[in-house]
This record gives sequence, structure tokens and C-alpha cells, in this order.
Amino acid sequence: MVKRTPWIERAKGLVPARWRRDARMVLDGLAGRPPPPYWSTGTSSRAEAPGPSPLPGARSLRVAAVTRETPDAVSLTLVDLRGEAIVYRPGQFFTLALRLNGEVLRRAYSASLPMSEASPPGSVRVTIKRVAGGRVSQHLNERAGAGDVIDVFGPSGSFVVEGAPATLVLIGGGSGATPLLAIAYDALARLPDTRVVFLVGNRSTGDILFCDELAALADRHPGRFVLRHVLSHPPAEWGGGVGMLDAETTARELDALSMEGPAEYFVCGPGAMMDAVRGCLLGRAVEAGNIREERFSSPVHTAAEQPGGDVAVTATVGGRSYAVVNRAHETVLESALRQGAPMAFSCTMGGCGACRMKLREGAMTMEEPNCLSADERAQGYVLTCIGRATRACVLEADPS
Amino acid sequence: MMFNERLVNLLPGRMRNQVAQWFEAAEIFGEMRDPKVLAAIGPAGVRGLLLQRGKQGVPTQMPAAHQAHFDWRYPHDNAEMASLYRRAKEGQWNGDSLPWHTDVDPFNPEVPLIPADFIDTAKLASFGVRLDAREELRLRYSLTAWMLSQFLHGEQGALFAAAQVTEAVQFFDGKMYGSTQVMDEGRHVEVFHRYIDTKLNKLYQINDNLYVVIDSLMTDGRWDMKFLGMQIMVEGLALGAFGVIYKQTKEPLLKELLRNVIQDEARHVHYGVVALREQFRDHLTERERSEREDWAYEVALLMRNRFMAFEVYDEWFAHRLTRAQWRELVSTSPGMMDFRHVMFVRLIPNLREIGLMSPRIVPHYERAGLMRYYHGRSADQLTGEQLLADLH
Repeated sequence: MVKRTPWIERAKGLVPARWRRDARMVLDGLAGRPPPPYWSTGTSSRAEAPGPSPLPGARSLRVAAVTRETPDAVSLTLVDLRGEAIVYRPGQFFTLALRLNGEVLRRAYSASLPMSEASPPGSVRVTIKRVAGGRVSQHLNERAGAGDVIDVFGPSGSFVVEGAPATLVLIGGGSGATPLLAIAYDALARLPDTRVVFLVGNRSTGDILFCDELAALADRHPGRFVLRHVLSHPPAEWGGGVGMLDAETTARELDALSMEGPAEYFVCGPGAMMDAVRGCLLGRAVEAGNIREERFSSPVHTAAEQPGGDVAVTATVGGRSYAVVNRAHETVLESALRQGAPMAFSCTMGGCGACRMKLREGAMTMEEPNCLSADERAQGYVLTCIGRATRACVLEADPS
Repeated sequence: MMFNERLVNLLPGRMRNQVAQWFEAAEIFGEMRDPKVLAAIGPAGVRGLLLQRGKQGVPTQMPAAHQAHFDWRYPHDNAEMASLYRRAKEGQWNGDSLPWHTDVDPFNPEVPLIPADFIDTAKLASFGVRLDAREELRLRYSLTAWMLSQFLHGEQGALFAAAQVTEAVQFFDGKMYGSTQVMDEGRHVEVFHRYIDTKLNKLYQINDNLYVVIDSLMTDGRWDMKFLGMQIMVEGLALGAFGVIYKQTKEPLLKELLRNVIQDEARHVHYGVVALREQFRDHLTERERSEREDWAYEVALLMRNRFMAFEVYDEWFAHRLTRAQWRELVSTSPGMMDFRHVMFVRLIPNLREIGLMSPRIVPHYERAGLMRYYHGRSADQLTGEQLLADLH
């Protein structure tokens, strides 16, 4: 037997759904069943679809231009997404944080122009030399394109000229020329009584960074700017210096330059070269206080997540205490910034010491190597940007 | 009113609120003086206040009948609009660049979303409802979520209205400008929704009166009515309301979000003023102009008198306070008073500027206590930066 649909159901079918909903609203209202005043949300995926939010404390910079400097080096001109000027001093570096395969990798790159030369105004140009096996430098050399947005920290570092030395000797090996170029531009423009000597070592002519820019600077400032290239594999008919920038070559090159008055030395390059140059300079009775060095290294050891998961951290900043939870996947600095504590920081990769705090209680692991001296470690200083609490910690900022 | 209240009190308890709500609606329409205005708003009023189309939990369909105005000669016909277009292109920003990593804890008393005196808890206590400190924080969180939800719903209306207006407007420079406004409104929907969705986790339903305004102008075929409704009334009221929250909130992400939105809105209202000033002055009969004047007045009153967070009342106090008590509480709480008043700081000078404040209507605004805003600067005299500076 065929079951018949009750008449009321059939009648309902004749009334558009919209009218039925209208009638339902009126009847429900009279029955004391008003519509829900709100919906709970948080399930929408739209907010997650676009690129991830910047890392805590980072500013988002857009790649405005990519310039190929040599087959192994590229310069990126970065501008602030909001149009704010990027303020820094020549010789300082920026930390670029890239998300590669789900991992955040941070690397320090120096500005290769001073602010006064930045084009467009307010931008910063950083130069990245490809490092064998270096994931970030490879990525930036091969993939970076105009329009990319990169999380950037900094500027950081104190590799900057203070005062107006009579002579500024800039000694760079390979990509170590990067901060030195910015310093050279700035000193030549800003310090009319300062003579600038630029000694730069490379493997071959094809490896020389900023070759044309350096030559143009020498043309513009004859007498005030002395440029000397040294190559370990020179071509035939090479007029410059020959050899690795070791102690012997450096001494020979410096001997050939006539230096008057007190000089300040700025040295940047591979570790072995810097050690050799330092030895050579100290041997020539240069005071250690007149030698400034910039070493680049990225942490070799990455601390694993703390085993116990979330750990309580109390941080005293500016006389106020902040109770923070150090999440298992974050550094102390990241957790503290995310939770609103006004932490000091700059490079976020253990290279500048801006986030240094005293560990009063508890325990923390840090990525190595980092810029803390043995003395600082003995006094109980830690770097929150590469630190992860393993036990509940009490941290205190320096009163300064 | 007294008669209505007595009648409502005779009804079984669960019916009372609903019927009181209908009496309130009937009262609004009973007070409208111009039958043409009643005809323009009335059907939307039935859909919004009686049938509660905005709260049915399903998408709402609204028929829109307006003329799309094409011009195959692409004239450069309005220098001020062309200049707004250039400024709008330069003023674009990306919603993703706001500091979304900020942890927003709506219950942290040290970083309040809105100030403690936003709602008058002493008055609430005099009605017999005592809240502890935690409940007060929750109530303020609810009110913030309610206000931001209404902003979001308003922005959805503004998005569609901006698209319709771009089709209908007679100036080609206006169409070019309008395209940027569509993008702006889309971005506002994006950022308000993202804030509500990921930081507050609470989306209030659209307020019935706001629904009436949006429904009424979406379904009106006259382009200048859409303009007046969206660009002057809704955007103007929103600009005032955003300003209150911008000024008072201590939550840094919300402040930054509003700072960006306010700068866009300043352009939108400016556009409305430029487009309508000439239209109302030179191209309408006096009868048509006064109809618009009345319409604007009625909508202003609707928003001032009825935009009362009844959704929050339904959630919190439906069984503890009468609607009349809630209305009194909202009308006298310092923060809510500020909120409902400052909405008019920007609106009234703009109505003056487009010629909808003739001596005929001024006494009515005077009675409503809104003439104090009459001498403020209109949108065409203000930049986004000045607007923000005024709020400090």
C-alpha cells in the first residue's frame, strides 16, 4: 500500500521556503524562542589561507628589486610594506628570516649601501653571496624575485664608524666587502677629512663584488680613496695584488700604502682571513681598540624543543615583571613578544647581544655558537632569542 | 507608550519581549512624517524588524533594481573624483600586514578592549543585576564583539553598495574611484572578520535596525539614494563609531586595524559629499530634495534611538531586565552614550554640505539634540590624517 503524505506536508511544499522561514521567525518569537544573538567563530580558514603572519617582532619587507652582482652573489633592495623608511647605520646588518620547507631559517646580511645612497629612498640594499650548501643563500640567489615579502629583524651590530678617524682602513675578504662598501660610501660623503683605504681580497676577477661601484668611487674621490684588489687566482696581466689575504700578503699590501696619522681598521671576511689579518695588525703595533671586526656565523646547533613542553618564565623588563609561558616550539623571546612583554632584541639569531638578560633562576639551553663571551656566561647572562627554557626561569633585563 | 507597556505586561512572560519589540517597531514607523519616506523604508522595516531576515541563519536574497550607466567615451568629467582615485590607489594597504601575531586576551584587565565605564554597572546594580569583576569583563567583551560585528555587517553592506554605486554613478571619474572603494570595503570585511574570527571568536547577528537601513538602500533603484544611504549615512556613522573605539581601546592590534580603516573611510565619505552636493543642488526638484532630507533624518534617528545592542541584551539580560530598562542603561552609560553621539560628529556636517539641512528640518535635529555637530568640518575638508589627529 502506498503511504500518503499528510496534507499539511503537501501544503508546506506549496509555500516557498523563504516564507516558511519568515513565518517560523514570527512564531518562534512569540513562543519565547528568539534567534541566537551570536555565532561562535574561529573555524573559518580564510584568515589562514594567505601567507603566515610575520614572526613576532619582525617587520615585513618587500623585495623591490633583485640585482645580480656576480654569478654567485645577488643584491636585494627591500622596502617596508607600510612605506616607512628603514633606518640603519652603515656597517649594520639585518636578519632575514625565511620559511623554507616549514622551517624558519635566519641569516644575517649586511646593508651594502648607506641610507643616503639607498634607491628608492627609505629602502635598504642587502647583498647575499651564495655559500656552498647554504640553504638560505642558495634560495635567495636562485629564487628571490621582486614582490617577495620577507620577515626582517634589525638593524643590528656595532660595526660602525664613530667619530672621524684620519684614515679608515677597510679590509674585506669575499662578501666581507659588503658592510665595508656601505662604510666607504658614508665616510667619503660625510667625513671630508678622512682618507679611506679599501683592501679587498677575492679568488678571481669574476668574484669581485661591487667592482664597478668601487671603481666609480675611486674616480670620484681621487686622493681620498685608495682601492686595492688582491686576487689569489689572478688573470694574466693583472696589475693588482696577488695572493690570499693572509698575514704576509696583508703586511706587504699595507707596507706599500703610505699611511699618515692614526688609522682605524675595519675587517670583515671568512674566519681564517680575519684571524690572519688581526695577527698581522697586532704585529704592526696597531692597538686592539683600533681594530673592528664583523664575523658572520649562523648557529650550528639548533636546540630541540624543550622536553617538558610549556615552561613558565618570569621576565623583569623596565622594572615590571611579566609572567610568560615559553611554548615548546618557540624561543623565550618569541613567546614573550607574542604574550606582550616589551623585550629588547635585534638580530634574533644570537649575534648581537641586544636580547641579553640575566638568568636568576632556572635553566635554559641556547643555540651555539653565539656572541656571549665566556665572561658573560660566567655571570649568568643568556640570550633569549636563541634560548629555550628547560626549567621554570626567572630573567632580569640589565637596568641600562 | 504607557498603554503599550501595560498591554505587553498582560501577555504571558515568554511573549512579552517579542511583542514589546513589535510595538517599538510600530512606533518608529508611526512617527515618520513623510509618506514617501515611509514607503521607502516600510517594506525593509517589515523584513528587518518583523521577519528578522538578517537573523534567520541563512543567506539573505535582496533584489536590486538600478540602472548600470555605461559610457563608451570614458570622459574625464570630475577633477575632484579623479584626485580621490589617485589618492585611493596610493593609500592601498594589505590586511595581512597588520600585526596579527598579537595575542589578544579579551579578559586581560591591563589591556582593556574598551574602558571600564563603557557600561554603567552601578545603574545595572540599581536594577538588581550585580556583576562580579570577571562578569564585567565578559560583558565588555560582549559589547566589543557586538560593535565590531555590526561594523563587519555594515562593511558587507558597504561592499555591495559600493559595487552598485560604481555601476550606477554618472561620472566616469567616479566609476574609477568607485573601483578602489570596492577593494577598500572588501579589505575591511577581511580585517574585521579576521579579528572577530581569530581574536574574539564571537560574531553577533546583524542588528535589526542596521538591517533595515541596508535592505532599504540595496533595494532602492535610485542611485543617489544608495549614495546617500551608504556613503553618507552608514559610512558617516561608522566613521564616528570607529573613532570612539580607536580612541578608547588599549588593544594594539585593534587600534592599528581601525587606524587603517579610518583613513580609507575618510575618502569614502568625501566621495559621497562630492557626488551628492551637485546632484541635490542642481538636478532635483525641491520635492525630491526634501524627501531625501526626511529620509536622512529618519535614518539618523533610527540609528541613534534604536541602535541599542539588543543582541547583547538577548544574550545577557533577557530574563533579568525589561527592554525598557536595558534601553535606559544603554542610553545613560557614558561609553555607550559617547558611542551613539560621536557617530554624528561626522555625519551632520556632511548632511549640511550636501544640502540636506534646510531650515525646514533643522528644528527637528535641534529637538533630537544633534545640532551641536552642525558646525564641524565636512569630509571634503578633511584628510585621513586630520581625522586621526582629531581623535587624540
